[in-house]
Amino acid sequence: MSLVRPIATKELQEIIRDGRLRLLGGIVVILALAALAFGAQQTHRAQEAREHASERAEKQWEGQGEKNPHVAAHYGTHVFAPTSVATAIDPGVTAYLGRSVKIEAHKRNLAAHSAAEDSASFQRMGSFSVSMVLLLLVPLLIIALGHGLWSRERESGTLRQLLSTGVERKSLLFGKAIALFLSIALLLVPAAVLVLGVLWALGGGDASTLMRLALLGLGYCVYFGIFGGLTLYASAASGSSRAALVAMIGAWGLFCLVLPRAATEVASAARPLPSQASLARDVAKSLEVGIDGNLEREAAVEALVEDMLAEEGYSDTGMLVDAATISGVELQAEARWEDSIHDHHMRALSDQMSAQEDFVTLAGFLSPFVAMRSLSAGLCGTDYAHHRHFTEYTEGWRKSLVTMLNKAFADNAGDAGWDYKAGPEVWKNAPAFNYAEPSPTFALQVHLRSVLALALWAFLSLGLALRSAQRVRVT
Amino acid sequence: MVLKAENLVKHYGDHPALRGLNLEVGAGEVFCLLGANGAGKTTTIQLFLGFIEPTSGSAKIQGLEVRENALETKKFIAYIPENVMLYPNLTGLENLEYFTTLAGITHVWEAELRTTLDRAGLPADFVDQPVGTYSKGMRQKVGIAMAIARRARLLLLDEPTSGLDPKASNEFSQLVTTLRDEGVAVLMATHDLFRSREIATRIGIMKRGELVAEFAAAEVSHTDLERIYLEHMHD
Repeated sequence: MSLVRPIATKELQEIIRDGRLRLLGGIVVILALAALAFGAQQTHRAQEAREHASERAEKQWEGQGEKNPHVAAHYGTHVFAPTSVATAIDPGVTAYLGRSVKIEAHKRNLAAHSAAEDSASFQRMGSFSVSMVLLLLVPLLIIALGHGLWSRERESGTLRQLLSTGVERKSLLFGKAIALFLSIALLLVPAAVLVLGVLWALGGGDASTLMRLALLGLGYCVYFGIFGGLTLYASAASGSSRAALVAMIGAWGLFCLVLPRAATEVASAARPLPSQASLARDVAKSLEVGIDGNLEREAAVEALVEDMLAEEGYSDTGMLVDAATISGVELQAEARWEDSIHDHHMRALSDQMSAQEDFVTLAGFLSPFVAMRSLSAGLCGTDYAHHRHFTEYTEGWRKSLVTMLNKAFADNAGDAGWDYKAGPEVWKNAPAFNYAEPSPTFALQVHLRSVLALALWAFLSLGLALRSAQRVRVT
Repeated sequence: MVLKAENLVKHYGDHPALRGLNLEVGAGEVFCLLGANGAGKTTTIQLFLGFIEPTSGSAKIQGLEVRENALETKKFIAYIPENVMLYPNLTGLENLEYFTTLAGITHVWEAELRTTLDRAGLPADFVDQPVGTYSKGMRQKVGIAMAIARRARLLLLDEPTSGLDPKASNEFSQLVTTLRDEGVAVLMATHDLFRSREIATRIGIMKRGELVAEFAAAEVSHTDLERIYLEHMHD
């Protein structure tokens, strides 16, 4: 095995000298840098827009003047999803998910104003990002550089010459694999340093982002290793370099184009999502007659009011409870009823989306592209799980804001009743919206199946490469 | 004996390529295998290289069974085929260094390798040129240089002078003779009766996988050799 180094050095020399690396690598690096510039610009623009809109919403909320707290809850405010700096690498599904949520009483709104909605239609034709270059084009580069590593030796007769020296086939395999890996690293490491610099400039220097990027780098190394292993296998097992190239391009098409699309289509068919209109209809119906259709809104709210009055110790006080308190409790009871309906429907929707995601991630066991795509978006915080994490926090915050406003009404309205008007002292007491992105561990937990799929692919490709190296035909 | 074949049999499916070959080559001996295409010469060499496995019988190098000691036996061998294939983007020196290192000869000084290439007859101004610019004769010389650098005990030559011009062929033969004189055992498969008579100590004629004749090269003249060869070919 001590011969691995000279073998890798010689292979690298050959790859560099024959000009393929310069030509193909140059194209991939230029595309990666263009995608980075594009992604960085988009991320920067999104960050600015978010900061600007957040500031405006905050000013509007605090400067809304005097009004009844429940009326204020109706007017509501907006909160905005954070833009992770890693979006510059992998925008994931963020372009198709809403970036802002309207917060108001009685309603749980879906996130709205996605980048895709705001884009011109031609911009939706395909995403161009660093992750797409890494996921789609780098494997092609690996195939282009590696498909002849065994087969060309056999075709030119150097394999016979090599094996007559008594060198172990395992050493040859590892030498070739290392050379292939180094030739890719030679291109990607400088590009990665540039990516880090850009992310740093975008404000991504915190420990969590760095950890996410480190894991992302590791994930991509494994992903490239899988394609490297499969390419070496095809090169050793195929009858000629051309056959190895055709086989690997076919595998690439299957893994990166056909299976991801098929998995998404099957998932959509198996677990269809309701349209926004039908969801709104179902929610409206449930609000009137309950989830199972047997509980009228009025009766349900009345029961909740009684429970809440009992909780507050007012059940036996009869006429001593003032009207404003009763109104405040009624509002809270209404909110509870509405929340239970919204939660039910949103949970069902979310479960359906998760089931779709689960199905697609299962396809990761058939395609390393699918596994890495899910993991990449997860580590960049741009997958659906991160979006759900944000919307769940937002819903919790909405509930606490509405509760706080209704309580302010119940506690302070007194005889003024619905004429009571609160001022800035109440608006300033609104709970702080302090959303923090989940840790990298969250991403790993959510995408554990993808991690497992990649690990299995890595073992499989290494096993195939080793087996084929032992059996590679000399003539 | 450096090389020994005992009842060596090789079948490709139903086709017998070797039928019980018995052969011995000692140190300082050149054994030339003559025969028509398909006679079993290349199969014999490939069996000793361990590239194919015998159907039955034994192929030994330095007393070690090749089948069971494929890597160990290769330490003693240098192999020069009809076309020595090298890496066209590497120079002659780099190719020599690479193949020598893979053969387990590490820490060889560059000057030593240059001397070896010079001894093999490669023109000095080509040593640092990419092998892609070399003629066939020059590549064969790099092959000889590999054998010298590896200090091989056994040279397996598979039609090494085929396609070489007479001058290059003569130079090659002289190099083989030099190595023979240094104690290297040589098994050479060839069609070249003239060169065989020049450099061989013993000559064998193969036909349909069998060694049908074997004699000392010194016992026959060029004319006798041609006659014997043709007699066997016409049977």
